[in-house]
Amino acid sequence: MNENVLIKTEKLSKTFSNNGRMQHILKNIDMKIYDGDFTIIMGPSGAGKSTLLYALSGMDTPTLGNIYFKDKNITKYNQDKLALFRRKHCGFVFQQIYLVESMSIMDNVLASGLLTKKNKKEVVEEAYKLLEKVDIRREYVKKFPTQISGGEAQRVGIARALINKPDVLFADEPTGALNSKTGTDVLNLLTSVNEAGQSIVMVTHDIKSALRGNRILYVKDGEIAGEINIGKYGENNEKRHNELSDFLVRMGW
Amino acid sequence: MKKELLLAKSNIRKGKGITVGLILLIILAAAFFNLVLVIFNDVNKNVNKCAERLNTEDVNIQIAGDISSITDEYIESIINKNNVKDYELLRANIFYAVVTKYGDGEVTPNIVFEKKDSALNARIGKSEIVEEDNSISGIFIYLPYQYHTGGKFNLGDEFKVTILGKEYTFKIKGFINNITMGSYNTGDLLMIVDDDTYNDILVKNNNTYNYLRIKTKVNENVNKAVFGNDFLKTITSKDNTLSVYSGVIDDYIFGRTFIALIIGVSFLAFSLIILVIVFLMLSNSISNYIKENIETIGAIKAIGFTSKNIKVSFMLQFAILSVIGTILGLGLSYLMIPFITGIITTQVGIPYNVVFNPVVAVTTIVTLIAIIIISVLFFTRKTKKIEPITALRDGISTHNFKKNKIPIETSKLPININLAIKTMFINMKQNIITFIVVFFLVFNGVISLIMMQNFSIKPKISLLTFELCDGAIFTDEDKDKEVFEYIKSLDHVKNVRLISNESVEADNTTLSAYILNNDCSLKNIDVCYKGRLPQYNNEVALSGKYCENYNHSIGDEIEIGVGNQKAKYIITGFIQTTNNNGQEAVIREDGAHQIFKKDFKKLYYFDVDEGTNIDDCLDNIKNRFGDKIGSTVNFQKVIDGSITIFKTISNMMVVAMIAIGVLIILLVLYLLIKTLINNKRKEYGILKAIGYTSKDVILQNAISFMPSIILSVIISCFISSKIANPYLTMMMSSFGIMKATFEVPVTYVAVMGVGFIVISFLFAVLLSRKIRKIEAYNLLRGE
Ligand SMILES: Nc1ncnc2c1ncn2[C@@H]1O[C@H](COP(=O)(O)OP(=O)(O)OP(=O)(O)O)[C@@H](O)[C@H]1O
Ligand SMILES: [Mg+2]
Repeated sequence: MNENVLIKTEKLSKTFSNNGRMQHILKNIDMKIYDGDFTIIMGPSGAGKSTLLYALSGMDTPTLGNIYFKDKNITKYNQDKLALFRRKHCGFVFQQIYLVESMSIMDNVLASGLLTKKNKKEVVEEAYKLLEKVDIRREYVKKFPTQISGGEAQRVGIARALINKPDVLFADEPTGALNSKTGTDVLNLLTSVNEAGQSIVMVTHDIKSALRGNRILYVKDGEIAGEINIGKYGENNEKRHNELSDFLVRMGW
Repeated sequence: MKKELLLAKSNIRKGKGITVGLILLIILAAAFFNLVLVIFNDVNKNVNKCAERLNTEDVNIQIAGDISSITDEYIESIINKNNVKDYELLRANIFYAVVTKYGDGEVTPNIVFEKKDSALNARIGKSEIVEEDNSISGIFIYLPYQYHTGGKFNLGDEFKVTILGKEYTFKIKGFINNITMGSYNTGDLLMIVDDDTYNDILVKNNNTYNYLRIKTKVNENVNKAVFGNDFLKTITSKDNTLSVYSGVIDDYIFGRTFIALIIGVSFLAFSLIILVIVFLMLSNSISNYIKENIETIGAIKAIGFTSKNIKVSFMLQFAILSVIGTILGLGLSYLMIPFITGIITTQVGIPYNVVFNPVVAVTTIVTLIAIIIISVLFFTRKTKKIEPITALRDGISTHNFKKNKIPIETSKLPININLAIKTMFINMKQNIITFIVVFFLVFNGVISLIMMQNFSIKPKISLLTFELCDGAIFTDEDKDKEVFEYIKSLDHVKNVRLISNESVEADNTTLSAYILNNDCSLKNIDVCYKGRLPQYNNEVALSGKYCENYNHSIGDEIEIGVGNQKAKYIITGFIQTTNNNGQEAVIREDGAHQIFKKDFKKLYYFDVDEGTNIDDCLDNIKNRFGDKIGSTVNFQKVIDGSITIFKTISNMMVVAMIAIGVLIILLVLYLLIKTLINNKRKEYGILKAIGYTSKDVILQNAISFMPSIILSVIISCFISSKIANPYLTMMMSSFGIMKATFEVPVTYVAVMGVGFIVISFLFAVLLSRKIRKIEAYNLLRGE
């Protein structure tokens, strides 16, 4: 485990009012995300996993508490400042993939890449490199998102998320909408970028995906109910699997 | 019906913003539609009703000069009883081209004085009092009502005129209304003065009258113009030293109302354009609305609504909007009408009370609702094809992206602009609509600016009057041309020319002829718009409008006469003026003498060198010749006086058109941007999620409309400027203007164009600020 703290929260709370009733979704969460980790967030449906992920990533602001990103307090940032923060530091991969349907694959990646870098030639080069890395054939880059398969689309999504070399890649159930074969491709891709040093925070429901991470946090009723370190994917996968299973049983999965 | 109504109501509630936008558009459409109909219907009707009330003559015959031989018995003996129902004689004194103050300047009408009793109690063509202050006594005058509405005089004000060398200072006791002698646009004005003044003037005129007006009511089926003309022939064949003129009631009414008609036609043109825009927007909104609700349509079909139910509910929905919109529009219309009729009254000079016109109102409502319902029917014709299953399962994809316009990879544009242009291409249909709307709005604006430039800032007098000059002298007694020669000899005076005005006859019609001295060169080069003015004694130039009606071409020969004296002339050119309803002729003095055996009333026009004081010049001539000079005219002041109304109208038009243009572009952008944001909600959410700020996306959204707006403004400014003159010629040809040569105020047009672009951009940004509310986070939660 790398000891460099990337994100730190203090008494992070999130409250929604549902028809006038206050609902405390995140309750005084103190936690850290470490640089280089493949952090997994698990927990029952409705526990607040996505809420936590989007608070950590500056997609949403907490009701109470503080969030530090590399010692910088981003809690009080307004929407536009958060957008600038996101483009600089975060990459996102969504369950529903969310490519812009009116733009070609290449343009989807470039629209993100050109946010931080001005040199178009470099960005284009980088985009081709990334698309190659995520196994998108060169003749596909001119296609539209609706003209490629879900798995391909999600890999484009990952390329888009990586183009700005984010400090951390956030993924909310990135394989949720994919079949098992294409899901595995996506997981392999995430694993390999993590191996190359990319920090990842991923929300997932299934153990197979969770095994790709080295640190698993379990969210329950708006609190971190527990966590476990099982080491990086690849070595002793059987042992890791057992440790994780035991952990999940303990957490009441 | 009940469930359809429920559906309609819920639809209206759901799309509140769009509903309000549409209602506003319908309000505008209804307001203008109704306004135009009211102007066309009621203004003339009001004048006609007034003409009836005053038992106005159908034809009046005017004879001026030594009328002692035209006795009552003589008239009785020559009047054709088969044609005439009734007639009445008015013997009075007329004074030509009397200079009076009017508005910001002066006008020079011919004035006929009458006593109060005889004017008010005339059997035919009587006068009525519109306003009166009975506390005023002494030397008083009743002026035509136009002097109040247009001339800006009020009861109790002082009014000065110089008659036969004596200046009279009246107090205004009242304002009167008379159809044929109530407007300086038709030449002669009737004014009532106190008995002492009346007698004083009569004594000064050697106790004789110089003017006889035969007011006749003719039987139906009698051609009024021909009747008048025949009557003049009879008179002039007895004594052709007299000046005669005949006028027909229709021409008087036209002469008084034609500016109102110009306003009406302009508003009609503007309204038609606004209507086109409104219907474009309506149909666009309806089709968008249906597109957006296709899933809902599938769902409600699934729960048992038939496509007929759905159609009916759409129709109900828009019918409700139309009813609300048209009724509010009628209200707005009646708020605007007094404003417009106020301006019309200014010119017409006949009191006008705005009354609600139910027929017109119903026409407005029915027409608009019918058009809206028809377009709803047209756009809902596809609902039948929507299968509940397909609609529910996949929705019906509204877009099929095929071509990646302006690929980011190769374009040179900054990324935000690049995305904006992409949005523009995807949103092509809405951009085409924007283009068309802006095009028409800018066209309206350019036309209004041209009218402002040519009627207000730098009045294009050459289209409104026969001749331009700096000063004019009117004289009745200059047989030996002593005055003429003297003016010519003055320092700093140049181009002295003589222009008399007499009635002649051709094709059984009375024409007003300008008689030019033989070496006269007109300053108004616009008056002869085709061919040339006469250069020999057998040549004539005629009104283009007249020649159109009678099928005369340049080069044709035409017989012109006065009484029994006739001569043939070759038509050398067409002229255009707004006087005498486009029945005018130009001949040379030597040409005129072939048919006239008398001296003409003389009007000398002259120009002066720059910096010369015209009034000093005129005073010099007046002092030198005294009573011989009928009146002197400072032309600039006359222009200022008669242009007052045009100024008001054109300035108002600019303000109204720019205000309406801004309002419409706001509404249109509102509707289009709302739809665009709706369609792009997801895409904008994604962009925000990956790090685009609200500002970025708002600008992208707003900028996506700018290419079509900018292009449209530029093209429209250019095309509008080019076609303005032909367009205005078409609109004004019925008023005698056959070839408009208005100046295009390039700077103003450019300023308006830039202003339009800037305002549109500001609106677009403002309206796009709704994008702030699209939170990436909500998108992620699948909202
Ligand atoms: N904007 C919001 N307004 C109101 N309630 C919300 C909002 N966002 C989330 N919630 C509520 O907070 C709770 C947690 O939601 P969250 O999406 O974080 O759950 P989750 O752990 O990601 O669940 P899942 O595994 O089903 O995705 C849910 O009950 C949800 O309804
Ligand atoms: Mg979730």
